[in-house]
Amino acid sequence: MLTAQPYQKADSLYEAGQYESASRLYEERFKVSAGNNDQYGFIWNLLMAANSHIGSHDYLTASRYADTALDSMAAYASAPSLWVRAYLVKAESELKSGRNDQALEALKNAKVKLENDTSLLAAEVYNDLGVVYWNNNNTTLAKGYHQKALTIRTAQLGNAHELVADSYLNLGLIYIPEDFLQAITYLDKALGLYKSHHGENSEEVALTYTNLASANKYEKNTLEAITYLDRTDQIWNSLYPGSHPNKAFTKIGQAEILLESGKLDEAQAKAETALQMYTEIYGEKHPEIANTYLLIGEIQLTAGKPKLAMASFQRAIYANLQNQLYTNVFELPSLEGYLNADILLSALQYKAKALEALHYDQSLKPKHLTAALLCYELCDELLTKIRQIRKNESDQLRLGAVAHNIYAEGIRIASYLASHSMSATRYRLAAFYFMERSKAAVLHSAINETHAKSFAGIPDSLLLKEENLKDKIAYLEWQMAQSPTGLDSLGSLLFQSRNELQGFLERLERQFPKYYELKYAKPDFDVADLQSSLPSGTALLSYFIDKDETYCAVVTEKKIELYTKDTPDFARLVSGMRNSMKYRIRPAFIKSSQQLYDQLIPDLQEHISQLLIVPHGMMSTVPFEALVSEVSEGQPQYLAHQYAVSYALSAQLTIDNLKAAYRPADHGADKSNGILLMAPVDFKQHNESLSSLPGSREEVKEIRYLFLAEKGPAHMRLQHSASEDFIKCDSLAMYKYLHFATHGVVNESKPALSRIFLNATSPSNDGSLYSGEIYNLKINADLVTLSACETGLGKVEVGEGLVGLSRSLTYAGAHNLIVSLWPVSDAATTGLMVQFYKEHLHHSMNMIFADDLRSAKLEMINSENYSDPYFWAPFVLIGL
Amino acid sequence: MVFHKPLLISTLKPKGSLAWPMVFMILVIFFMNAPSAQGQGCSDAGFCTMGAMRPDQTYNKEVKFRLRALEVNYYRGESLATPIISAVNADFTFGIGENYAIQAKIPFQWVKGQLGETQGLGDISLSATRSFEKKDYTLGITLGAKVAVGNASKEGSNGDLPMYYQTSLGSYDLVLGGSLINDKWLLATGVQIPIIHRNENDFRWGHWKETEHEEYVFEYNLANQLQRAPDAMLRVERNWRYVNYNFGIGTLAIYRFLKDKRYDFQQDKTIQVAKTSGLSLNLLANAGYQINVRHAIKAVYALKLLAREINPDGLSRHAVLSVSYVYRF
Repeated sequence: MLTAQPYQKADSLYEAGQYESASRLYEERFKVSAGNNDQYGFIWNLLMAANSHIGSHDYLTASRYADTALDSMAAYASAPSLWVRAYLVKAESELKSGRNDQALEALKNAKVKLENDTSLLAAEVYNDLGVVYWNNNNTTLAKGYHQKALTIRTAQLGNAHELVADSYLNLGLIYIPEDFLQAITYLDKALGLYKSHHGENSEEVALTYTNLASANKYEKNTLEAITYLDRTDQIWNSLYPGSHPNKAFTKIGQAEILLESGKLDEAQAKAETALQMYTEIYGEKHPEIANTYLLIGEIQLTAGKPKLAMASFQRAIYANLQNQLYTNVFELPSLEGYLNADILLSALQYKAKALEALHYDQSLKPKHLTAALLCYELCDELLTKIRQIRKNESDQLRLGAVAHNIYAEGIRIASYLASHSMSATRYRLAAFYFMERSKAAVLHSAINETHAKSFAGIPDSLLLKEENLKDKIAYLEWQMAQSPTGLDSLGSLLFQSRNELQGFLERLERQFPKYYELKYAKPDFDVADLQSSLPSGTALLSYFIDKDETYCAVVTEKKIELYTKDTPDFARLVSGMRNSMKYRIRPAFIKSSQQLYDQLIPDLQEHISQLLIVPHGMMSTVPFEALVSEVSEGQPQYLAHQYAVSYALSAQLTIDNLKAAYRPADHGADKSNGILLMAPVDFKQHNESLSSLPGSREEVKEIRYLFLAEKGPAHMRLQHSASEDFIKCDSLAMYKYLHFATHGVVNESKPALSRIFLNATSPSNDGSLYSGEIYNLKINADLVTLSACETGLGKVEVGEGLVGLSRSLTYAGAHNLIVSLWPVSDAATTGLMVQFYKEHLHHSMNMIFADDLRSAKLEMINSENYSDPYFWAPFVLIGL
Repeated sequence: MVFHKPLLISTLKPKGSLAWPMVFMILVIFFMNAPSAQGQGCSDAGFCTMGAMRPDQTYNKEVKFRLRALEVNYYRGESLATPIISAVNADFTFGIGENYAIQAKIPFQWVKGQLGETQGLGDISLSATRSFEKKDYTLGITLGAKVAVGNASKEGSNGDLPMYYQTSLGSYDLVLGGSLINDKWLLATGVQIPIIHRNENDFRWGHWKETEHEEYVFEYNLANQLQRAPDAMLRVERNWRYVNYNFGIGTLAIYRFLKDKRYDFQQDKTIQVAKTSGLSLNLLANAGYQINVRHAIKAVYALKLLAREINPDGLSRHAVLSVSYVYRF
């Protein structure tokens, strides 16, 4: 917002909120300035007129004036601060008219023009960026910008300024979903400051009450929320005689609470009043209008009126699309020109729900279910686009939870249609597609981005710069995770580095259009491709867990089948099986693993000999090989007896992996270094009380002999030479096999702290190879073995899967991985590993490892000392 | 196959909703015009369409159908001799919660044959059913009764008509049964035990001597003061259920354990009637179309494969077509 200049009458009208009169005076002024060739006066008055139009909700004129001001500045040399102000006005007008993308563009331009990034003007830019990023659910980024603005404002203005209150207000809003107490703390601080500056009956106080109401509503403190909304309503009524967006927003809040309390008629009345106000102010197209239709539809759906609800959701969809008109209720829009992607996603999702309700409660028409399925397909397409605007991985992962619901609904409908229509295969494919899309989406797009870089001709110098930035971020993230007390300084540095990386990547996108095109290419998942890639006799079993049901798609060379099983006690069974294996409680193990076998393993065709499991959620922690089909003569019959078993993070990654294994370029890559064997043996230099692993020395020595005898070469690094810096060298890509016999730790709450222990050589290479560092390794190995504890575990992220070391290694280029699901004795591990390599070296040109691991496991099952699954089950193969 | 938006958009075009009603109508017309089917008909004394034992039962765990239903059913059967039996059944089911239902079935019947025409209210069936809903199947048990509304003594021009022409069987029966239904199969079994006999039929061949019917009147078995023996039934159906239509085939076996009894006016005593016990076997075909959650139409066609030799109760049919309209509310 611009500060007052000499034109006092216009300014005082503006300050008094008489925007229409103020805008007329400013318009007269800029015309006079233009006549006098007073460029500065012209631009200044133009911008003030634009601000006045924003005040009177005429955003189109405001945006036009801001554009004119920017064009004029381009023609004349203008001060950078004036550019920043013009962009701020432009951003505000776009933001309020619902064009978040345009607002973001303007603010990015404003940021570029900043001369001093610790000035109050910079704080205003950061604050507005925070608002815009919050609007498109880039919460982590938004928080970073608001923190930055708060830091600047506090440093320059002290703790009591109203601009500081603005930052508190915005931070409070962001914290609502994740930390209620923190949110309330910020909002209370804002309220105190606003009251002292503006009094009880002010717009600012009312806005704070609105946010306090939202926070309490989120926490289900309904009475408090109602109280705050009533207070807000009173203030708005005293400030605004007619329609106003703030008034409408409060009505929406009231309607939402009424809906939750089951007072549907009252809720509908409030929502319709809000709709009327919004339409009066914004016209037909605006995210708030879309949101209001969404609420009205929700009320109608709750009232058992799916037809009316469907029409409201369709209106919500089209109110969010700039150049598309509502024609009929079944029409699906083209995903172009949307104002708010998240609201559009919700509207599509709700429309699908309404169609489903219409089908099951009224019509029973198949067309309503197929239309719902199409809505979910469109949701999936939109999710791909939303992922592109989520800049931060944690925000992308958060989107996974929303995506999970969409895919779960899609799978449920597709599964129903598959069993209730004559086109079963088509719907099985649709269900499998949704299952696939629900897995490792973030990892997949990250790998896609890496491939895009390698095909876009980006110079090495730029790639190196990016690599350095990523290393720096990984290091800072690790430091942040390690020492939560030193958040402020580290946080600020991390924020700056992330910003730098983001800016760098955006520049790459602009400079190398091919990179942009490849990076954002729609994933083209091809089942026929998968079927033709699968080795003969292999069945891919892709799972999806939804509440108490588990879906399993079985893909073989020629067929696709879909199974649904009731799995009400799945979590209990999984932990029961894992614990009974780890602590060797045989009766409990047999019981739980037999139950899981029944729930997870469908009847398979006779020629199937290998299973490729694509697990979902906590299923990633189950060693399927140890599932017991039956107990015969006192001996459990394991799945490993029937099939060779391996795992994949997603079917798409399997296709990529299989293709890479046979890609001429990859095949011809220099992997002349053979196997690299790393065994630090002693871990005294690490602070953690890690036992030494003398068996690991024997393990790597024996494997080395095996390789030397069969095919060589074998490079062994023991103790001090098993160092972190060696792993980070470029020659790592020349090894066909990497074998780490060491300790590993997976941090399930902070996956970034998961690590493999090596030897330290410098402060930055401290011997802990963290997950974030693994992402930046250059691996091209056909097999990476982590002969270490629990390296196959991680944090189960909804909609993404297991986030841990295996994910990082897959990203870094490992084609196949052997990791472990729980700590195992040194001797048993050595035995299994040596046997595995013996099996493999009998046919070393064959890069299918599942049979070799199965043979090694069967050897242990048949042995005297290690037949218990505790010894052989934890090591699993990710790959084939 | 490449998965992206056009896949479903191009291939999942909703099918015309008129397609299945049309198929249904064609089937109905076909069956209605198929009197030349020369098999033997059904011999159901009422329990085969009662509660858990009825054919073509709805099975859909996703759709919560309304608990009350009125089914109006038109039934047409060709009997052993000339009579064509037509009936309209009003079948009212009243659900009490998810697991209980009571059913009342009130038929109105017309019979037209060479010996004459009769019409009137048929025997009323009342039953209560308890369902046990499981994830993959539903179990149902039924306890019911058939209440006679007459004594089977409707007369023609020459005295009492044979049982084929009677609209009531003249007995009060107890019915017990159960079923197991899943997505593909329906298994139902039950017994119908006559408890009170009020049959006063007095059809005699001699009354039709020297009439135009004299030649074939002997084809109608005597059923004077008939006492039907208990029946047991076993129904097995394989169903194909789709989103809003279904069809299926099945068999219905009805076994009469004992011989029927009748009054022999020549000996002036009640005698057992030879060849009235044994198996009767029917082949069934059914189709249904759910117009929406409230309205549905159904058709069941039954063809007799095996019959008892003597059927004094007049329940033997060549073939039966039953067409129903169901209104749920």
